[in-house]
Amino acid sequence: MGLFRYTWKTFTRELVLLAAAAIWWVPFYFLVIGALKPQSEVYTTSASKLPSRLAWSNFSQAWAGTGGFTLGHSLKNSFVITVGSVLVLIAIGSISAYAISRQPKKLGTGLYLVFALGIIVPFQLGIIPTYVAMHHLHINTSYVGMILLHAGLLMPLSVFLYTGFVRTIPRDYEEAAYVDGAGRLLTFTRVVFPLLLPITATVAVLTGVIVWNDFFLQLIFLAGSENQTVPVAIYSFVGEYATNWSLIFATVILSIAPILLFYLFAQRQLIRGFTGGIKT
Amino acid sequence: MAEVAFRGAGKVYPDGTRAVTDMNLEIGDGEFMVFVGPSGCGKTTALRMTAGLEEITEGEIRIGERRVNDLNPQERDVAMVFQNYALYPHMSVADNIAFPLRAQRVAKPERRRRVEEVARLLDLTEHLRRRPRNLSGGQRQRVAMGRALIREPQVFLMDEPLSNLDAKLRVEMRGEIAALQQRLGVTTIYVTHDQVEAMTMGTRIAVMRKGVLQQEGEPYTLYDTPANLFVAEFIGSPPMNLFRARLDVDGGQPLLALGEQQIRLPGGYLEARVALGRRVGCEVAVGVRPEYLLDGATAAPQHPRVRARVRLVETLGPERQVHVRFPAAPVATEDVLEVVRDVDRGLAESLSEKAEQPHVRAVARFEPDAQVVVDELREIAVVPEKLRFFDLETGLAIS
Repeated sequence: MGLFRYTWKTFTRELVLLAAAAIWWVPFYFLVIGALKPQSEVYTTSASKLPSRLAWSNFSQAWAGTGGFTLGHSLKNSFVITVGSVLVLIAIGSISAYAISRQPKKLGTGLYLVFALGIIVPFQLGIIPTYVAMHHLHINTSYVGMILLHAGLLMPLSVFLYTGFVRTIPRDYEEAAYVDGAGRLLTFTRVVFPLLLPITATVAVLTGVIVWNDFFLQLIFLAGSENQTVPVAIYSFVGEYATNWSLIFATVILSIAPILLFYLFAQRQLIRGFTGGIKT
Repeated sequence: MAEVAFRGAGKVYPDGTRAVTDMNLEIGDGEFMVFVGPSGCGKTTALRMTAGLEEITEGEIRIGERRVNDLNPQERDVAMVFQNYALYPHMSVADNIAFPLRAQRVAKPERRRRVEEVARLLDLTEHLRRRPRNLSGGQRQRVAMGRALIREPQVFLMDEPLSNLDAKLRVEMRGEIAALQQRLGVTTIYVTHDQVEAMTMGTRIAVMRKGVLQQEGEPYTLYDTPANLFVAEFIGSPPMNLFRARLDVDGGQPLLALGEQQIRLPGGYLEARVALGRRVGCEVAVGVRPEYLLDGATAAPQHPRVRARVRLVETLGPERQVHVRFPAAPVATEDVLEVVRDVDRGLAESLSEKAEQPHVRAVARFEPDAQVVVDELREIAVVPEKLRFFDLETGLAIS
């Protein structure tokens, strides 16, 4: 096999695609060399120039964090808020989508449109009343508050994705379960939900990345609190008069590692979720 | 186990589409009832109404002592085998079979014991850990059966369970299902569009058309004395030969005038068939099964003869099917056309175009060693006792 598995056509095609893919590595290049540069070189040399020596200490400094909270602490906060939000999005999104797609056509389409609207309307418009409401409920800096907020804002996306998938599942499975003596809940948990695994992976990754990377909401609600997340922690390196880019880059590398690992594991399910359908 | 009764049962969808109309049928305890008919005749809807998957909008359905109209599927104690089996793809064979017990919260050891028992019965023991997608069509079919059996339900409902199998396996499974049903003695309703399946499996058959029950009875009753032209054309393979003829009496002897030729009926024929006697001078539809159109060269001399040209000879081993150009006009009423259309749309069109032609294609059954040459003019003997008569307007049998 080896090289001989290529024809000229496939070889050229693969070369072109690799070259195209390389474009996506350029920011990574800047990220990595920026993270390894001594702080003195960040402003004095060109951004693309390799560092004169590797400043590994940037990583330990980044890990130590700011404001008395380590990066580990912020990572834990990000993790709890992300996982919590994703679990709520999966649990409520899947069951809502199931209910919507099994309604009579008119009602189902109507409900579907209501959720679709939620994707379109910019949530930033309602951020002040939301903040005030959460403040009164004393949940504006808590895990629960952030999980509710993220889950609520991303629910339309979750329902939208699930509904499209549920519609491709033949009703026969549910009907078989009903005749087999299962109630609605058992039918959903044992028969329907397992069939939604591919789209569940898609929802988990898409919403997980959004929550993990969210800066706007987390800055507004969590800045300065002990529950601050990674993006907020990164922002704390941005000062009024000076910005420590080496530490920011080092923190970014440390914080994208977990999500990259998750993506690698869930990749296959993710693609299946996008392409739709189930294997019978 | 229980009886199932349809009392004026009907189904009208919200958009006004009528799927089943005023269905009245009693199915005895342990009986194997087959619903048969062309696609869209309402047979599957009637089955789904029994299962609780379709609302009963008119009349009632009773299972045993209970009126089930308002009961959920899970409360009706029925088990169903679906056309595409609907095996849960994410579960192993064992979990699929055990699912109904799980729904009933049967304890795990008991569940396992019964799964093994059913697996032995259906020869699935070695496949219990596999997923449905790794099984052959026949094995999937058996898993679906297993899932239905394990419940020990009052009624089995089967929706064309063999239609996804190849012809050979279908014949094999046909026998297996019928034998299993006899052994277990569970009341069964079996839906199929294949009349051969219906004839071979059912203790009784209900023929449906456009949501209306046409006739129900034992297979041979339907075959021998169809209640109308639709049943006559639908049941039997090859179907009943149908043609038009005028009923006349010549010098006291009844006869069927076919155009240039006649079929002379024996004396006393009309006296034994009072309703037919009233049709003298009228045109009627006449039906005769292929086995009662015989080789004129060897048939008993008292049977009347008709000359017909041979078009095609099919040698089937135990018999020869001789297709002839029968010298009578075809019956092209809507009843007949619908059945033909279900099999072959083009043929239905050509049949309605040829409605006024003086000949019709008919099939006769000859002995396997009969010498027949294509295109020869041959004498065909007709067994008068086995002629069936139908009203051309209503399609109903004339007794």
